[in-house]
Amino acid sequence: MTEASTPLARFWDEFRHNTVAVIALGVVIAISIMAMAAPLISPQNPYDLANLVLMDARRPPGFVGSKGFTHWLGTDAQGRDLLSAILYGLRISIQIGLIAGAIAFALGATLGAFAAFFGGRIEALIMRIIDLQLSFPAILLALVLAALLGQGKWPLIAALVTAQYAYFARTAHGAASAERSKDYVDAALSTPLAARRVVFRHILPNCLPPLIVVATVQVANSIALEATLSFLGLGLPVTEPSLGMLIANGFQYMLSGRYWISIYPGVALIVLIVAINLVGDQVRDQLNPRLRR
Amino acid sequence: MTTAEPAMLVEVKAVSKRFTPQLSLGDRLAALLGSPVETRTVHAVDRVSFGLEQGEVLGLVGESGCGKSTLGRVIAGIHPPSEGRASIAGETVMGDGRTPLKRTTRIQMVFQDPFASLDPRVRIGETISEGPLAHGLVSRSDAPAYVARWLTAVGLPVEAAERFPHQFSGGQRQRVAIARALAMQPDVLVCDEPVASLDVSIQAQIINLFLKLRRDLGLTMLFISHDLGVVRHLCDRVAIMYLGRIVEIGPAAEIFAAPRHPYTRALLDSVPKLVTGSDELVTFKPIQGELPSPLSPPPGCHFHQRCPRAEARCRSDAPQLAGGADDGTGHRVSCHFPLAGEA
Amino acid sequence: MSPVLLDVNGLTTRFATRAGSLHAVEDVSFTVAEGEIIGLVGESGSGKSVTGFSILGLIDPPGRIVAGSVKLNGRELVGLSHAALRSMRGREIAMVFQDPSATLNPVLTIETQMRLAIAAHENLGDAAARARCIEVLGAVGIPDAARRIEAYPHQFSGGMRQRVAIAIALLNRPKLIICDEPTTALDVSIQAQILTEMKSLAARLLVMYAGRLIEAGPIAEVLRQPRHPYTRGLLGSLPGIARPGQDLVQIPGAMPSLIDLPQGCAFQPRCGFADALCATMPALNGEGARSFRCHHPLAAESAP
Repeated sequence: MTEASTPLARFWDEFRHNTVAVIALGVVIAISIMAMAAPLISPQNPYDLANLVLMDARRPPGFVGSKGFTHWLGTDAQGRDLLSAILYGLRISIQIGLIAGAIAFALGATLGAFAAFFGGRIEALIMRIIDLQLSFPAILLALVLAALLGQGKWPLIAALVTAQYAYFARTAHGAASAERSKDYVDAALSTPLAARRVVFRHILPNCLPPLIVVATVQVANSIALEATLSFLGLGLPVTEPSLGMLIANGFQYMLSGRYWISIYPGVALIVLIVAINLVGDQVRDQLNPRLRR
Repeated sequence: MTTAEPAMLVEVKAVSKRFTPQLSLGDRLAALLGSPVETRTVHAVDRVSFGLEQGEVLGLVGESGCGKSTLGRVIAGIHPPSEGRASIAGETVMGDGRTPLKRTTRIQMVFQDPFASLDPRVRIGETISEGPLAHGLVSRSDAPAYVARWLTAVGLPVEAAERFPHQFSGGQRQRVAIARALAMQPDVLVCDEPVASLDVSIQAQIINLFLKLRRDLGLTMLFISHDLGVVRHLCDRVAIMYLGRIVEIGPAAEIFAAPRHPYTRALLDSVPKLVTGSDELVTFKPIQGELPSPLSPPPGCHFHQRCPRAEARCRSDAPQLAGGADDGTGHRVSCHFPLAGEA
Repeated sequence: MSPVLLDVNGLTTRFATRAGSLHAVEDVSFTVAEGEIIGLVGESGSGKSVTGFSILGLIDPPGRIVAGSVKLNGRELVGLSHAALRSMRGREIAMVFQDPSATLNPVLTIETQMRLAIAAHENLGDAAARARCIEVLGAVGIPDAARRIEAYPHQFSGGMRQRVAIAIALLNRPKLIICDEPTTALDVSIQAQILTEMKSLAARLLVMYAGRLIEAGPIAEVLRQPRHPYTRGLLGSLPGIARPGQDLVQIPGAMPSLIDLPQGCAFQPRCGFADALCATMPALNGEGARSFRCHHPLAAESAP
């Protein structure tokens, strides 16, 4: 009876040997903490219109505004402090990415696992719908939905979920089909345990490794997709700018030399997405037994 | 029809199980358009009938691919039968609705590979208690004591409840799987090759555990195995399966001493035996030929191609499992030309 | 007595693992004479497969032969280059594995695979190579070899696949064949066929436990009068020998971890005869043709 350590401890033991992934994880955590603490650490509340000074609009980084503090990253067209706007924007982006990812995960994994468990016509129906959906680009689906449902946080989340649950369902179906044929599932059936319990307590937990890999990639994707939709004006209202909208707003000033309005939110977005993907790569390498030697 | 059989606890009546691979969409379209589509149906179990008496251990013996595991899974309520019915004390094991479901908890199963039959992410305690909890055999507050009781019964320390399967050896895991089945308080245990994947010294420990459980709990068991030595050691009666059919069934002592079906005879002769008395240490005689494909079993008696006694009739006419009732032992054989039963 | 073909001396193979050094094979010595059949028995983890792999030079990192020598016809094999080992494998030593479907390539015909095996060592003409293949397939009992040689592995049953694997091992007429559980994956009746094909069973038996040889001798004597308590326990565990319905003689406990072996005799924690003396490793003592590694060997006349 060796290895009393938990699976998580063993996982971390292997994870920490990849320096790049550890740094990336640190970046993701740091950005997340900063975004969560945005109201506490940012110099200005960018959503409070009364707080904005139009006179300070479009000032370059390092400018000391009329309220007496330095705008380290400059200000945008409304006189918003960009650092504050980026922190608040990250907050919204991460929030929406996580919520959409979690709902897509739950919905997709459940559908995929039940399809694999029951087989037959139920499986055929669910999986054909999912195949059909996967044949459209996610961005197209999200665009159509965002246009149909209108602006706002929840319509945006609904669009992201619709665009992404199919990836989870595909992955869960593949993994669950393999688990379905294992003896421990037959053992549960011969007990007998209810289908719900077999799927949620036994099959799905064993499908987690590939689903976690998809989840890390998909959270990054939904953040990017949210930014894209917002950039196109289909995301959140102008009063609560997410990163995508900040980039869009600054876009028109790019050519007049006021690069910072677009560039800094863009850099924040890229750093976050690249960091999540680097963590995801390492997680995939560790959880995919085929890549193991 | 045989008459005056004692009331059986488990009855298996004309059970068949066929596996037809699902046709792909393309094949189904082709079939719709009228092109002939080859369906490759495997007759895993072909109209098998037998019974299990209260308290007896019946060995189900055969080579791989003979359908013994499938039959075990039908009886344990994992697969619905294609035809026929398996029942325990009159209650059908698996309802025949559109989505057949097992309802009875009176038949439980132990699987061959304890590395595959325990969920690697569930602690031993929950593995054992989840069935009894789901069926109200024990309350949540009594569950830990209940788990401890069954762990003790199979010879594991009580602390095992807190551990995960990967922290145990193969033999210990098989004990956990047995405890899981027993905790459902079944009348019947279906054991599918429960010692085949274990090392010899561990095998002996598990066989002794079965002997003990049988004495202590009066369990009725269907013991599926390809290992004739193990079956002879544990079982009261033996059924021999060949390509989906039972070819011989009867008391273990009689079948091992005087088999009546040529296949049983050949199977017994093919096992290398240590003859500790004589100079020639090991004796065995292989069966000629190979197991035919279950996709296209030969007509008539399935064994005729390999049988030294086969005649023209065997090639067309499938024998029925019959005879031998007059001697009172229930020794029955499915053969047109059974052996006389000499030792 | 025939001349010695294989001389294994003090063979020790270890694997480096995160938890420590795994002692798979420790100080194993034995010889095989030309034409002799040796049976190497033990439970999983006893080191019997690793011994076979070590002889063939098939130990890859993290495994390493740390000590000992393996001599084939007097030529040292330990420390040979990969190329030298490869040219020797098949021609001088061949191996048959437990699972034939894992050794045969599923996308090549039997003929292609056999011809590749010949071409690795010899330059035969097309016709001659094909004739050799058919001859060997026939010799291992494959009916209609001339036609079946064009088939793919999946067209054969498990037993026939194992015959093909044996045929490939025989192709280059090796002097030594190592068979690692060649019948375990097969059915009883097929096992018997394969064993018949291999002509006879072993004449001498070596018993391994936790990486070491613990008993050796002529097979009949070892089976009738085991001297090591483990060998006797193993024989008692076989249900074929005991009376039906009676408890089998069981060895308590399980094989120790090869990373964390007990002090002295590895069997000591499971042994009914163990005492303070057993905390030191017993030597492999010889007594005529028999040898055993035990401080308290069973009396020579005790029957199992």
